[in-house]
Amino acid sequence: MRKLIYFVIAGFLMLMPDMAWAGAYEQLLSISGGGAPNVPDVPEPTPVEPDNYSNSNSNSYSNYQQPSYNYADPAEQQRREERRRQRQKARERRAREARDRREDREWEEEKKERNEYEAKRQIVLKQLPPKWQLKSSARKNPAAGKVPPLSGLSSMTSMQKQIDALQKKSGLNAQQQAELASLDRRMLDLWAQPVSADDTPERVRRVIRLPLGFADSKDVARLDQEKLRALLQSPSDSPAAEAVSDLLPVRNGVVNFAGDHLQNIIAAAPAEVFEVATDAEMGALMKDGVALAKVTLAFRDASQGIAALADFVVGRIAVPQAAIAEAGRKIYTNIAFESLNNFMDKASSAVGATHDRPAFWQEIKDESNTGQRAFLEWMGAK
Amino acid sequence: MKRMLFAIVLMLAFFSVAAQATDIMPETTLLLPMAEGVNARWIIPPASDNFAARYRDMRMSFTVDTDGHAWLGFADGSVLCPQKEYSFKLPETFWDFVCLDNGVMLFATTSRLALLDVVAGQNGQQPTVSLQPVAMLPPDCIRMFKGADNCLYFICGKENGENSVWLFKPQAYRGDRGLPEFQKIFESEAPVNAVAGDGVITWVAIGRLVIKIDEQKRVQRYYQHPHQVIVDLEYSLTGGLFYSTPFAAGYLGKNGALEMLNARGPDIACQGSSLYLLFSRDYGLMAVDGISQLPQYDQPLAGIKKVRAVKYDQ
Repeated sequence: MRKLIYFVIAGFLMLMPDMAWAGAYEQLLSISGGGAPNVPDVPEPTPVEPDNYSNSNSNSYSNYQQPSYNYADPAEQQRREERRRQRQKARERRAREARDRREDREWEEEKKERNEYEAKRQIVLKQLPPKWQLKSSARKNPAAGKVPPLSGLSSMTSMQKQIDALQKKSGLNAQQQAELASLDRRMLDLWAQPVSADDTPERVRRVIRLPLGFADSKDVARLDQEKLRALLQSPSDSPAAEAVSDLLPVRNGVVNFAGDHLQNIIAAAPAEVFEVATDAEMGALMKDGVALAKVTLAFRDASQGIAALADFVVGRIAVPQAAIAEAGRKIYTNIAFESLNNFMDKASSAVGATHDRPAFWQEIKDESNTGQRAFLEWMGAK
Repeated sequence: MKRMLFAIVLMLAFFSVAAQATDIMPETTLLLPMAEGVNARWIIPPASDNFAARYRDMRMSFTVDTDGHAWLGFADGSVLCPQKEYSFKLPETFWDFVCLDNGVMLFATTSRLALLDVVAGQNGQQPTVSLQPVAMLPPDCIRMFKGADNCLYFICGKENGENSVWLFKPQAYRGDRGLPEFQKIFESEAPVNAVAGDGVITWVAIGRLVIKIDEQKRVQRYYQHPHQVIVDLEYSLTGGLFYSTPFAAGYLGKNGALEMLNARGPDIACQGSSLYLLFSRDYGLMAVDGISQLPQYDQPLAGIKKVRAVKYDQ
């Protein structure tokens, strides 16, 4: 029974299109004024050239006359093309209008949604506890948005703007130049205030800068490769160039003297220069080391004669004695910190001392303030 | 028995003294003029092995303040002054810092010149030390040098590009607006290793060569080291010009060098009439006092007149 019902419904559905369309054309004619719209005439079908296949199949119709020409009216083709173009334009216009209408509708809907959301949000906000409202609308609260007072910062900013404005102008007159110089000087004077103020935010502190510039690089001494080569090859202008050629360690001054050269002299002990000394004499020569030799060097005067003699001690450096070395190790141990800026407590307690943290910070703060004052003085600000 | 015990105690005492006396720094020799006031003294003894091992591979900056205190800065932002027991770690990285004779301590960050600043802690927290930028640096700066007479030198340049030396001496030069300005004073196609001077006369190290730029901005050859590349220059108004190479440090006069120290990687700084020598291997610091007497030894050498030493194979 159920199958039969399905079968009947399916049959109705198959008949539906014809039923739905029955009389539709007549209704359309009546709506448009009773006549058919101006539908262009459909041209007669154009005969086409027979292909090989059709020829092979039509051998039995030998008396069939093939069309002798394929004529198309150019005016008609032009009209047809024009109509096609008009239809295309109309389609595009309709699509554009539809898109515009859709966008307008969507925008209206969004606007409506936003308004509804805002209305709901306001209702919710009014019902929230006061501290939540503060949090959510901190910008509107004058207390929450209060900028810490920065002494001199606003003045600096306005002055920097004036300086920038003046610098953009070309051909400043004497008065403007004087004004610029005055602003620069006041900037120097004001710079210390936000820098030394404790309440200056870090981001402000990082961008505060002095108006120091770069001089025009005219008249700069220049050394190219060619000139460098010439300098390397040319003998020195100094009298040292004519120094003794057979004594390498002193040819360019006393260079690397205590190395092999002195060792060779001591080992060979040439009679003309070497004199034997005692351990006691050598031991008295150096306080923090072991003397190897006492060397007398001869200097020349302008007439190439011996002008002067001078004694030098050559020795090895002794590592400080145990107690001093231990002190040094402690000094370095004290500063072998592990974490940022709180090493003093740990390091001092490790060596049995107590580090006075406030005193340390005060001391280093004083030192940095002194440095800043000295810097400003160096810049000519005070 | 008593005698024997006494002899043993005496021997032990002798050995301990002898051990102290022979505890010398390896591969290090010192040459000093035997003149009144010229002597070497330890400022900070060598650090412990742990400390040295921790910082040895880090880039280090070394400067001495007006009171003769040494300051060390490391690539991780650590700054320490062992004599004052100051130490802090900066949140910003810096590549160089100097203490000028006028008491100003300046740091060079990537692009800015900065001062040391202590910011008060918020909500009861302890203060922090940070850098306060003061001005933009010339472009592509790579090293900053302390000059005599309170001036600063900067070496700028890119690899395979042009190298330049800039001077900052606010008390001596101001631009058209009456403000201190950085002046470019030297350009070179070859890389510049070091620079020193007083803002009037400048010395520049290029490879083994030291070039002098005089007041008229003429470039002259000053000195060429026979063996090593010059990596640092320091100039003191009283002492003169000093240099360091990867294996030596010394005085540089018109007539040549007086190489006073042979050691591995010495770092030098001048303050007053003292030359400070930092041994980069163990962070020990020595001062050579009386450097103002060194210019009197700047004469043409005629050779070695006499060597007095102990002849060990006697």
